[in-house]
Amino acid sequence: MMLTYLLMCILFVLLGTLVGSALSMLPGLHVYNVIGFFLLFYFTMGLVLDPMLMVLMLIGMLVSYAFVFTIPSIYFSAPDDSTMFVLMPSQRYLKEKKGHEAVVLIATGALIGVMAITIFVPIFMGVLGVVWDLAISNIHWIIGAVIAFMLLSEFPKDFGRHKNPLHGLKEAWKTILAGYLTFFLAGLLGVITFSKTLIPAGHAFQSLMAPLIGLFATSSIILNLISKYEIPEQNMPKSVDVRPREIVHGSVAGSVGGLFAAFIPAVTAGVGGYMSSHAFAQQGDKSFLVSMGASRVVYYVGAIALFFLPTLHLRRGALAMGINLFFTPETVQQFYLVDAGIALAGVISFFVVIYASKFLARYIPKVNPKTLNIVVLVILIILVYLMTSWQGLIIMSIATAIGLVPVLFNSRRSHCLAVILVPIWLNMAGISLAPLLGLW
Amino acid sequence: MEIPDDVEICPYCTANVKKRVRIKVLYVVALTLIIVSATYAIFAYTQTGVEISKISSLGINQNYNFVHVRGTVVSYPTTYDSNYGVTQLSFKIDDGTGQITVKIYRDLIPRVVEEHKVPAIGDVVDAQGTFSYGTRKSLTINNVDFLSIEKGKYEGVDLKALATASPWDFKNGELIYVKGNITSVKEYSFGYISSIDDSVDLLIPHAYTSLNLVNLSKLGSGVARIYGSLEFYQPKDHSSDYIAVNISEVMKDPEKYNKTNVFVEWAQVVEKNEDNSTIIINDNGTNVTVYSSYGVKYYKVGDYVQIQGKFVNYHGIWEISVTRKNDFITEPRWEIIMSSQYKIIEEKSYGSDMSVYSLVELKGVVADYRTLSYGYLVTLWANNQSYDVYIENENSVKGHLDYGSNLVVKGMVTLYNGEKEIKVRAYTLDSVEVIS
Amino acid sequence: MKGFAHFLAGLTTATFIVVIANQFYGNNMIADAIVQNKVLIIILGGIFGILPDTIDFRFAKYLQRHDYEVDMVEWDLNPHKVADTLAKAIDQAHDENREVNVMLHTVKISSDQWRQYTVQFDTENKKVLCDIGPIISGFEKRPYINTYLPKEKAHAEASFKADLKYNYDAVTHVDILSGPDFSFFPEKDGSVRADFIPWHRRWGHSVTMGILFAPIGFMLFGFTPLGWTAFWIIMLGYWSHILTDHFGLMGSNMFPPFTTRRVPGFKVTRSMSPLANIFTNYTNVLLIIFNMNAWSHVQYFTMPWATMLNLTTERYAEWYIVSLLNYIIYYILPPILVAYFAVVWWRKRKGITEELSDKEARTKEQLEEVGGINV
Repeated sequence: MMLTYLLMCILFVLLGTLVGSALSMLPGLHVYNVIGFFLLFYFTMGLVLDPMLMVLMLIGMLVSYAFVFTIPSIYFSAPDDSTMFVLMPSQRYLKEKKGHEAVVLIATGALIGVMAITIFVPIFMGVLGVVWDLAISNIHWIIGAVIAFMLLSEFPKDFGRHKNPLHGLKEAWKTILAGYLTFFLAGLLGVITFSKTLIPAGHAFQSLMAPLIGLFATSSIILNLISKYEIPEQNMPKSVDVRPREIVHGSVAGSVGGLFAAFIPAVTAGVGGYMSSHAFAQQGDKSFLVSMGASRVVYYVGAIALFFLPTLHLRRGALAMGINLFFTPETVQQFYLVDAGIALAGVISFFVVIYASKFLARYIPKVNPKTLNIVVLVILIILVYLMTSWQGLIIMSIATAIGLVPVLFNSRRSHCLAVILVPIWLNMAGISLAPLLGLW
Repeated sequence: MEIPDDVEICPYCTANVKKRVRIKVLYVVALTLIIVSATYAIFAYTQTGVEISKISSLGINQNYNFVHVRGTVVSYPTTYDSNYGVTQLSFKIDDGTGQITVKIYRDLIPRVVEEHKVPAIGDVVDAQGTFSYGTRKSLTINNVDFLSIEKGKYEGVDLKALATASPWDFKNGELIYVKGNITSVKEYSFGYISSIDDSVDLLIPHAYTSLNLVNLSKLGSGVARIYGSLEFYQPKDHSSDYIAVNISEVMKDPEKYNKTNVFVEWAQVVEKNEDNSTIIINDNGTNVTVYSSYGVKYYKVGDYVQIQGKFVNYHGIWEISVTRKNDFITEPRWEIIMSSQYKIIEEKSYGSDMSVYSLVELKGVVADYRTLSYGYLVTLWANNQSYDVYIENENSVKGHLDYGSNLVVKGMVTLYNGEKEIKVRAYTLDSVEVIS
Repeated sequence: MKGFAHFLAGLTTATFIVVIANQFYGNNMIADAIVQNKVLIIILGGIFGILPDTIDFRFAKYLQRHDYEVDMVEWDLNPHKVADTLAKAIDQAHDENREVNVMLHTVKISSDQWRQYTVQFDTENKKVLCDIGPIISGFEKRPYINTYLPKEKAHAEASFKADLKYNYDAVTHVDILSGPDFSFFPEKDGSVRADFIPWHRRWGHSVTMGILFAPIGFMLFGFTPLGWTAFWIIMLGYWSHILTDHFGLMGSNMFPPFTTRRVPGFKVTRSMSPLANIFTNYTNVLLIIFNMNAWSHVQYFTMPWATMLNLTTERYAEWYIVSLLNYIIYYILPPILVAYFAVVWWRKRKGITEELSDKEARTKEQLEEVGGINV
């Protein structure tokens, strides 16, 4: 390999990381939307650029997104599909003037997630190959089991005060049923979006954008707008209140959850992280924040690492599928380059996150949160309109309504992820609901 | 608010005061990733090629691995054509331990063509790609740099000698070149079968024509030097329950072979009697009669045949009787599977020269015509004399052909049963134009 | 165990039943139904594996009637009310010779702040002690150290007359989510037995319920091989929950309505211990992978011992058992042992002694379960 080529590779990773960091600061903008545009641009350019350089740039963007998205999700409270489990503790942290600490914890988790990808995944390469061969023919019941667990583990959020057993049951099942209703509606929305693209064909690859923004972002913004809160002055600590044990516990759990999500179709980082937090008997906010950082990175970036992993070449996640349109990874050398890129982008993104957070922690409290939320909402509406046209806005409104159900009834918001989980599972299990809904 | 010195936990926010992780420590942890990154970069920088694997050693454990193989091409390339053009190109290579199908898909195919990397039988191919294990082993090439080709060495062969060569005169897969004219072209699913000087068949794989490596119009425009590999074409296979015999041995002790199923690999027809459907064949000076219930119309004296039948005594005469389902008389012969190489040595143009294999252009009137299964046989009145025109494929005719039509015929002068005729070859520049 | 571990254990049980049923019916029939016809029969194992807790925490808990409820608010904290109510209930159970239930509610202050208080039964001196503790934050239960009440306001005692039998920890903490309840039973010898969270691990955690649920398998698949497989999956999946719970301290009531008391557990581990959960889950995941390999047409991995003994799938039972044993010894045990000793070593070095007495551990286990956070 030429040295100049290697330097070019590093340059493109840096470029991708910087572009990705800047764009990821925008609340609600998912990296896959941005990557979609980059791919279109690349194809129209007639593939003049060496595909490997393009791949490395996209990886830089993806890694930086997996890190930097923490910023809007904490300071602007516009979480995406995979941050919502962090939302509650992170809002608490923000309220307790520890926004920066929350960012540091998540970024630390993400950092260790990158290490897991670049160091441990290659070690278990052979095992992963065998497990994948086995899992692929059993995937329908594995996803089905994930769904069953999500539904069965929804628990009542009453505090034991009830007049009689009937009243008690009613109180208990109110949240559970609200959770199931959310799951059902989100699943239905997912089936419809997957089987019939409601938005104009030119925007088809963005078809999941509107439902996801509606379910997770706009619904919480609306909640922020109707509830009274303000962002207090943030502390700027030199140390974080966490023990090494909690970091280790959280990042191991998060990495395993993220890997599970990267591995099994339909399972996203949120669901994977949720499952693994149960599997690893996690307790406490800190290890939770750390694990969420790790699971997000391992989910997004791990998908790419698995795609380039010799002998596995698992095509999961939008980026892997996008790259596969113009490039097929196969050599060990490409794998080395990709892992070098991931590690490099990881370091840079880590510092970007920390310094961006320092900056925002200083200035965010000076902004009126209502104004902030309205600005974010407007940005989201414009983004959705630009990317998916007015049909997308309608879908987003419906999704917002569904997303408000768990928020208002205190059930778990993870049920909203049925929007992805259910249609893919039905597809894998060979069940077609579309004719029932009159979609074909 | 002041936090007292002696407490472990902050009284206002319950955070740990003493047991905390410094953010600067995390910076150091982050910087260790630089080492990881650099290590991988060095790995990538120093990574050299993948070693060549034996095809037989590739199994389920190598599934989806990136492997490197090297071997000789043993099958002509095939393509899969769809509405979007050629979407798959594949060929088989053999390294002496086993065979593997090499596949190239979609966007890569034009690059392979540009770099002249479409192989022919006998070429040595060096290929690196993703191995997949299934009922057949295959290797998918994803990068044109991972395919390289060493062309085989071809030796000149006399066409006449080839036409009558016995199975043991040449070897299957032998690389040769011949000189001659394309005298007929027919299309099949796998490619075109054309005849060189009406004596040796030439198989032109579809892959070469679909990828524009072989241009039939150009190939038919003169005397060409054609490169390819030899294959002994046997229309039917030797069934295992027929004993391969030598006629001279059988005739020494015919009783011993009475009523046995015999297979004669190679013998020459020396006499033909259409009335009682028999031919007499000769092998190394010994003759034997062969009776066929299917008739013997197609065999000419001097032809070489292969026979599978029952050795019987028919009214006192020993003969091989070809009557049952598995019995046959075929005329196996050497044919050439074309590589993508050819050269026109002598360019010809349509003129009025009527010598054999020259291209002629004639203007005349249809005196008579017969419709054949694919084309026409036309008797053309031109230059105050009649010509036989054989149109191989009706698609060569532009316009509606009828009695009295005025035609411009472009074709090649060929011999049919010793008589000259003008053959309008399909898929070449030969054509028939109906003027009125 | 946490719900997830039960769920996984149920799935694992199901995969074992599939392997056995597959051999019993031959022709790879059950596995083909799962892999090719995409029958979701294995999930039943997970669902019924987690169901006992679902029954307890979603239903049984609410069906429990309480004779007394102690519900304090932050601005009116009264330890005497707690102590007196409990003492009264104990005596009432003895005097009226009937079961008396008391519910102690938590004191919620804000979305993640709670007032903690403790209850203690002094069986020797026949006293109930109640102490109001600090305000604590969230699930981590960290105290705000400047929120302790003055000693005289925080402490209360109440005496009772009956003999009390109490098997749990001296101190019971009431803090987050739902509070605990106590049930006082008059015993035949004239004493009163105190039961903690009486509705939990009773009829829901019983062998009997497993048998009752099993016929659902026939309802789903009829009396077919699949139906029978589902029957066993449901029953054994359900039992797997009871068995795994039994490794803890609390135990379950195994055969209601024939028995009424919980049989104490094996005391191997605590249900909330992260290490125990991780080890169980690791084992389960690896066993599921092993079984998926065992029932697939092509074995993606084979174990060296089976190869050494020349065993193939022709002699399935021997091949399976030898391979499984080999698999456990090669892949399941070593990581668990290494992790276990690493943690033990770490704790020793750091001087952490988390060894609790039996009584303490049992109470802690129940308290952790009561909030419902485990499921």
